[in-house]
Amino acid sequence: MSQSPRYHPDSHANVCLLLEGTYPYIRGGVSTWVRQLIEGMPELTFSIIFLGGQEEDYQEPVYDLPANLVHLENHMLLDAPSDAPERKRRFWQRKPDRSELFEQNLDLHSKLAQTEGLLDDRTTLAFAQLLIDENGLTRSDLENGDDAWQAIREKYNDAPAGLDFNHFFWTVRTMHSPLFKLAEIAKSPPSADLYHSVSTGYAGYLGVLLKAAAERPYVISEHGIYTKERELDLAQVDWIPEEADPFRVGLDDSMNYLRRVWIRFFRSLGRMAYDSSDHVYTLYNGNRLRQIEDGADQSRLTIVPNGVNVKHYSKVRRSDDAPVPQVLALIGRVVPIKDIKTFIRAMRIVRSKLPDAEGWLIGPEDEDEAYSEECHALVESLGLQDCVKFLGFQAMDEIFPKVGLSVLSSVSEGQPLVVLEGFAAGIPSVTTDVGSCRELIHGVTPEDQSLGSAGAVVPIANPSALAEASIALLNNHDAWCSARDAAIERVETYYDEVQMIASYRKVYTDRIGANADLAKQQGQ
Amino acid sequence: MLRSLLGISLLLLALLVELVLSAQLVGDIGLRLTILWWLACHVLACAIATIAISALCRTIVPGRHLSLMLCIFFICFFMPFAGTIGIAGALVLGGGIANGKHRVPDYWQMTRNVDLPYTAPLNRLHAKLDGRGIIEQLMFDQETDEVYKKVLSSRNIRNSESAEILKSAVAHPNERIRLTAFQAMDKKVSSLNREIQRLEREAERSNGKQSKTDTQLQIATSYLELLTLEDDEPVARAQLLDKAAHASLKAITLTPKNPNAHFLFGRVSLQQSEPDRALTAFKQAIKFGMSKDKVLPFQAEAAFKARDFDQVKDSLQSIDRAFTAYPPLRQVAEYWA
Repeated sequence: MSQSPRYHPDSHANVCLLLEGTYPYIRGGVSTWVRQLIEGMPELTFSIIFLGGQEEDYQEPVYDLPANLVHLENHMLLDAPSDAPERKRRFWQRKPDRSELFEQNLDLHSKLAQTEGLLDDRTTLAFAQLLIDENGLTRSDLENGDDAWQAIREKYNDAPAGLDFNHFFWTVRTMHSPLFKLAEIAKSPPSADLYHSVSTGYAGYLGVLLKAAAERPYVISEHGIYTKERELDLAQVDWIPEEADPFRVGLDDSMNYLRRVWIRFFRSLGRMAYDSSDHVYTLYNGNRLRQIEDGADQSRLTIVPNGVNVKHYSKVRRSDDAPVPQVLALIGRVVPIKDIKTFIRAMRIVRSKLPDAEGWLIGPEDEDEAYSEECHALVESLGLQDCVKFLGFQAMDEIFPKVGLSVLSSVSEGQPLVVLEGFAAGIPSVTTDVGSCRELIHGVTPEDQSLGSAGAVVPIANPSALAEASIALLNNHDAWCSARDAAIERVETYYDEVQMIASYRKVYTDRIGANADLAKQQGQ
Repeated sequence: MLRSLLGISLLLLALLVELVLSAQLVGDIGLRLTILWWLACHVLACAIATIAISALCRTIVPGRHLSLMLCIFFICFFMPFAGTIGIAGALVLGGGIANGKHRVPDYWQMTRNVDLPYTAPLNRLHAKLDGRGIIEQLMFDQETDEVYKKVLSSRNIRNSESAEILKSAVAHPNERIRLTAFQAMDKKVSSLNREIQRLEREAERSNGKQSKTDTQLQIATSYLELLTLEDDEPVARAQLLDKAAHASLKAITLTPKNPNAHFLFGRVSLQQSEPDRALTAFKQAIKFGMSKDKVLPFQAEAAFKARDFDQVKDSLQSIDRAFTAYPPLRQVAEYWA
């Protein structure tokens, strides 16, 4: 565990947030949402368990920590384990027999592999107990035990012929190692009335372990679907060893075994998190359906859409007769998933029709520096240096008055906050048809749809469609004004931060209250 | 001696009679024998054969010969009947077995394994063979998992072959397929861009003329490959072709007699819709030693674009017949012949 600017492990919080790679160290939609949540409920105290990869990636918090955040602890899952000496065994003491635990572990693994859809409650709990019990499995058992060696060899029998044992062995070890770190956290957790993870994955599984260890309510809020994003990532990453058969001809559509193992691992973590949680909150119906497909119980799923500070952004709205700046702003990190290249290509077309138009890229460039360099090179090769500008992170209320259109060229999104913030500032949006963007632009219910379109939706990876839709709005003042009016009305009616915070306040108070009542009854 | 000759002659006569009788029985050679006459002839032939055999065996079997003669006579008499029964039995039995064999249900089913298609028993669940192309599957298939795997694996095949698949997949309604295709394409474009950047750095560092030429040719080829992925964008297409042309011209400047440089420049010019320039480049490539069979099909295409149809015909006719005997050149060559 690394120190943090607000490290008070003995303090008690009403809500402990379990965060993986987001607030307060990384900027983005989820981080903004977390900040809104904490700052929106000053009457409640919060603590944060932050899970990251390696310490050097997270230097200083990029957000000011609010006063009601009483404790922040950081845990790096990829860093070497602490060198805390294990209790030394004297030579006359017998080696503890762990074979029963490993047998149970193998049995649980096969149950997890066989079960489709909803999980059996006992399986999730039994897995958690294996890790958090005083006499449960430890990192040393996995790394040094004969039983682990036997178990790995036994599982290797299920692997396809030709798979290198060396790769299999290290995959198993690397994959399970972070779970022991999570178990360590769960064995001495920060005191809280409720645990709330903002994704599944490692943070979600930490919630499972905390619920089993501390017996407190546990809820999940999911913005993007963690399992889906991991799967897409793992299907193509280069660090998973792959043996290509040189004699194979044609299109070999069998996925590498180790990739499948990794994907199954994260799916299982997700299923166990859904199974263990008291309730799952999601942003829109598309995500809800995917969560049901991934093993969430639909009776425990509720949609709570994102919200933005409408009052704050309404101050920067421009008047009806003010000219619309010919500026298209893409607000987001410069990473492949935002498909910045499509935006740059679209800008070339926009520029050919609107010579004064500019494209601004507002967001950090340090997450994927190679991709960022490619984007700069593309701007140069298209001769758009004077038109496309990389501005880095900017304060939104300073940027919005200079922007005519908010553009999103992403290939994957949940419910983008930047679109809603733009709506609140009176800026229509052109987005790709991903996540809930169509719902944001055209509305969900008939009443919502009757408000009109707040911009346009285009297919992904289609620069000309993105450009045409943007030009159509910027060139036609009436169309722009009607989109702006629809945007403002939609965000004020359905996506105000006040509604979102009220929903979560109710979640917290109800769950914490119910748990306190239960504890009282048990005490009596 | 005389007896032996007589015996052999009689035996041959008996065999001849038996042969004629068998032929009559099986194929009706037109002797118009009733069954009694046939039997009488058969008895006569058997008797002749018995006498002949016993005469021939006299020196081997001394003493009375009546029992031997009776034995030989019966063997001779019943031999055709035993043979007929044997043949009939064999036919019935063989037919039965053959018929039974055809009735055994198929055990193996055809699988999608190209190398060993019949390796799954019928009762094992197995994906049905799909003869459609992957683009068709992407357009019409609801079975998204199969399509997803195919799209995913297309990242491992050559850019020029995977570009169409990935571009179709980017428009697929299923999000997983769409994103996988997008990521795969983006990765291919990125790796080609990185490769071009590396080659450009290498071109600045390298000293020898030949090594510089090779690097420039690699740069031009990489731009052409990038073109297969970014072909839809007219501006990107024009820029990539310009860069490929620039790199191949650099290679020509460095080593003016390099046939590969001229050939590549010709191919780029052809794509840039500059057929006259392409024709000159292809002629130079042949002049500096490149195989005619490799250059002439491109030269014919350039001549066609330049509306010089006589040259199209000449170019195609100059190609070795071994190359024009097979599609796709075959149809073109036949048409222009």
